[in-house]
Amino acid sequence: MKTNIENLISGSIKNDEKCQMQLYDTYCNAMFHIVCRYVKNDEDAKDVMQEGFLKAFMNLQNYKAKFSFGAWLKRIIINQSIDYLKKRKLELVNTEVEELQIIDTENWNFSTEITREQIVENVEQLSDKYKIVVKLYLFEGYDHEEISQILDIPIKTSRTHLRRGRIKLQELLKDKRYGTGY
Amino acid sequence: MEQDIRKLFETGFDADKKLPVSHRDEFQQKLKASKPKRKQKQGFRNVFKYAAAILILVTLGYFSFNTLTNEPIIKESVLELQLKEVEQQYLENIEKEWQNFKTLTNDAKLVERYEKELNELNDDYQIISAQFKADSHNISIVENLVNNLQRRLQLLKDIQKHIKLLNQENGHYETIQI
Repeated sequence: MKTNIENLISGSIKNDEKCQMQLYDTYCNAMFHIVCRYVKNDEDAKDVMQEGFLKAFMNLQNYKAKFSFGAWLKRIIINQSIDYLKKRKLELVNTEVEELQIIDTENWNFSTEITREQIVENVEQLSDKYKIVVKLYLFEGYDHEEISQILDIPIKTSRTHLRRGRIKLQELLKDKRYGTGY
Repeated sequence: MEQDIRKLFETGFDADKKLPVSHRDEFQQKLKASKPKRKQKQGFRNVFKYAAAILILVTLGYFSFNTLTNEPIIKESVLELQLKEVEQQYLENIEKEWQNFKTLTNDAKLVERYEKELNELNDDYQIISAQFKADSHNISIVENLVNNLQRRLQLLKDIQKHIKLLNQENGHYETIQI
C-alpha cells in the first residue's frame, strides 16, 4: 500500500493525470470531511478541498517522506480551509491584551455521559476565534506550535484561545445537561 | 465519571457528509485547466529538447554519411580527376588549333561557320557533363565526352589541313606567277 502511494506520488510529480486522479480518489473523502469541519457549506467545502488538491499537486516535489502523505495533504487542506475562512473576514488574532496568565491545568475531563456528537455540536457554538483553535487542537490533533503556524498567530494567543474555548465548551455542555433534566 | 475528551477524537471522526456525485469529473476538469500553464513551460523546454535532438541527429547523420561515403567519393574523384586532365589537354589543343586556324585564314565566313559548329559541340559537351555528374559510373557517358572533344580537335585539324593544301596550291600559283 505504502509503495503504491509512493508510486502514485512520483507519477503525479511527473504530471501523470491517472496517478493524480488515483491520489484524489484515495484521499478525497477523508479530506472532504476535514474541510467540512471548517466550511459549513458543502459546495464550498468541495471547492476548498479540490483547490487544496491542486495546490498539493503543484507542490508535490516539496513533499518529504518523513511525514505520511496523508498528514502532509491534510495540512495543505487545513491551510486552504483557513484561507477560505480568512477571506470570510474571520478575525483570528485577539486584540485583548492577556492581563494575567491564569493558572489553569489543562483539564479536558468532561463527564462520560457526553458523547462525541454533542461535543462537535457544541464546539460550533463557540465564537469563531476560539472555535477554530479548539477544532485544530481537539479534532485534528495539532499542538500549539502547529496551530500558531497554520493560523499565523503567536503561540501564546493559541493557548489563550484554546483555554477560553475549552472553558466555554465545558459551560455549554454543563448547561445542556442541566437543561435536559439531570 | 469523567473522561478526557481528547481521547474521543484520537481515532479521528467523519462528519456525516457526502461529496456531490459529480465531484470527480469536476476535479478532473479543474486538474486539466490547471495544467496548460505548466505544460507551456514544459512545451518550451520540449522545443529545445527536440531542436537539440534534431541537431544531434543531423550532425551524426552528416558525419556517418561522410564516413560511409568517403571511399566512393575518393574513387569517383580519381575518375573525375583523370577525365579533367584529359579534358584539359584536349581543350588546350583545341584552343591552340583554333588560334592556328584563325591565323591561317582570312575568310571570316569560314571562321564563323566553324565557330558555330564548335559552339554547338561545346553545348553538347555541357549536357553530357551534366549527365556524367548525375551518373558518374556510366562508361558510355565518359566515352561520349571524350568523343566530343576528339571531334572538335579533329574538325580543326581537318580544316587546317585543307587550308594548308589550299595555301600550298596558292603558293604554287604564286611561284608560277613569279
